[in-house]
Amino acid sequence: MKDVYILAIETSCDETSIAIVKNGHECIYMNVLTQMDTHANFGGVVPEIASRMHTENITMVLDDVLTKSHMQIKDVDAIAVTYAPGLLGSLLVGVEFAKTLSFLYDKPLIAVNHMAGHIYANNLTGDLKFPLLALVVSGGHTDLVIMKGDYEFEVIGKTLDDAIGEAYDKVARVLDLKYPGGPNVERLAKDGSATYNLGVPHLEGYNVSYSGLKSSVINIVHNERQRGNELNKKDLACSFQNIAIGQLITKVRKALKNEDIKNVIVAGGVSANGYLRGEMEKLCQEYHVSLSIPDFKYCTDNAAMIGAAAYPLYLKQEFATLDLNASSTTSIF
Amino acid sequence: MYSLLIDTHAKIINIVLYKDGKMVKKDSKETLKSHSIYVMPMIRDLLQDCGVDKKEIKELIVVNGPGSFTGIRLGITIAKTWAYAKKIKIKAISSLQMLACSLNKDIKKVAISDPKGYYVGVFASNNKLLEDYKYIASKDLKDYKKEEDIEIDYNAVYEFISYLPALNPHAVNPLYIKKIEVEK
Repeated sequence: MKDVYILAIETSCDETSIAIVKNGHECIYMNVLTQMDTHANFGGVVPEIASRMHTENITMVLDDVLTKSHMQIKDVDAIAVTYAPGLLGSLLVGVEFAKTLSFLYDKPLIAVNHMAGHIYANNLTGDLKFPLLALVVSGGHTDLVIMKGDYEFEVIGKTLDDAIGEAYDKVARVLDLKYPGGPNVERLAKDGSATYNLGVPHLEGYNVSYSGLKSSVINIVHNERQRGNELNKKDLACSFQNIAIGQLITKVRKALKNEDIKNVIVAGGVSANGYLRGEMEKLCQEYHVSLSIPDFKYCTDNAAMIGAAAYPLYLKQEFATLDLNASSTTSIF
Repeated sequence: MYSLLIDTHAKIINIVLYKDGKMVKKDSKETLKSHSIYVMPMIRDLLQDCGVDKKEIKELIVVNGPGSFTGIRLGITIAKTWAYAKKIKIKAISSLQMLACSLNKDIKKVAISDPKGYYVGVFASNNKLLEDYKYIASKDLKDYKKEEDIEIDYNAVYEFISYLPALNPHAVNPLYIKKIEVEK
């Protein structure tokens, strides 16, 4: 079969990224222009500034991709873009950019859901083997999803309140850690011990919860400050992380016991968390199932994963039209 | 030579096709929903209706604001992407300058409305900008002529544009004028 090259675009949050992906598995070249330093000045992503920077930079990112890959737009088979979910203004820049290229070069347009991108990122370093269990963990998602085939998502569990990444960010803020919070909490937790009693949520089925855990951390910080006690931030971060990740491990273990699963994948920005990776490795070894976690560069927002997720849609000829709109909330699950 | 003007700064989207500097056809659509659904299909359909192939477009004119932030980003993204990819000329004109080009007066004071105030510009009779664009409160509007009371003269707009230099597509960006919360 002829090789399929997809030009993929991702602008759902604060990274302007464009990649060329071959057959959904091989990233030929990718540029990820992050705006993190700019947003760090404001303590978090400012949506309007993110949209502005995407507009300013997107053609330059494309120029770099075409130059470095020695390819031209006419050489690709399709244009893929993240259309949801994410920051609306940011998504719109990518969507309009992709539609323009699709129109100018008469190339099929593929609308990709960002979360599918995180799952299919695993195809860039391995192969999705069905049936699989996907643990989708990010700033907006905490889902346990069973997939029996391409684009067949069955959610068996999810967070009942905050997403895990959101909880990390809030804990980072109350511990006065800089944006981005998650990696900084993890760094602190590495040198701490789980000495604080934060209470473990016990939920039926495969659901998890982060709101109570987050509140416990906030209460401890306030109480210690009121009493004039010095807070052991390392221990508190470690106590938080043990329960935050521990909940997921408990639920994945339960799924491995009860469901038919050949392969476990971890997807989303929180899959960059080293403690989660370590615990998942131990668990999957115990149950003799293969585990795949994308390379770090494919865990955070990136266009290569969008190219990977677009490939099955290309094969099924599920194409979008020029009236494609962006959406901040659309879920595939 | 065919040129295309893309204006997405307001509720009404305007796409104008020119041949040798004269307007051939204009397509407009008023929408409260996202412009994104309509702009590219409007461009495609306008070219089709006029029997012009997209490859025949050799110049793009984009309205770079001020106006709806999201709106102008759409037009700019389309125009800069097109100009970069197909290596064609791109020029930018402000929404206020278009109003000035459409009036015959000694001093042209024009305004574009926004939910909370007005973007304003002051131009000489030859359409030269006399002072920096400003964002003012509705109560300060006084003698400015508003966008809704001006009919755009697209041939006059092209005449003005024809004296402007073509731009580097990467450098074509919106004119925001109004400060956002974090800039204050």
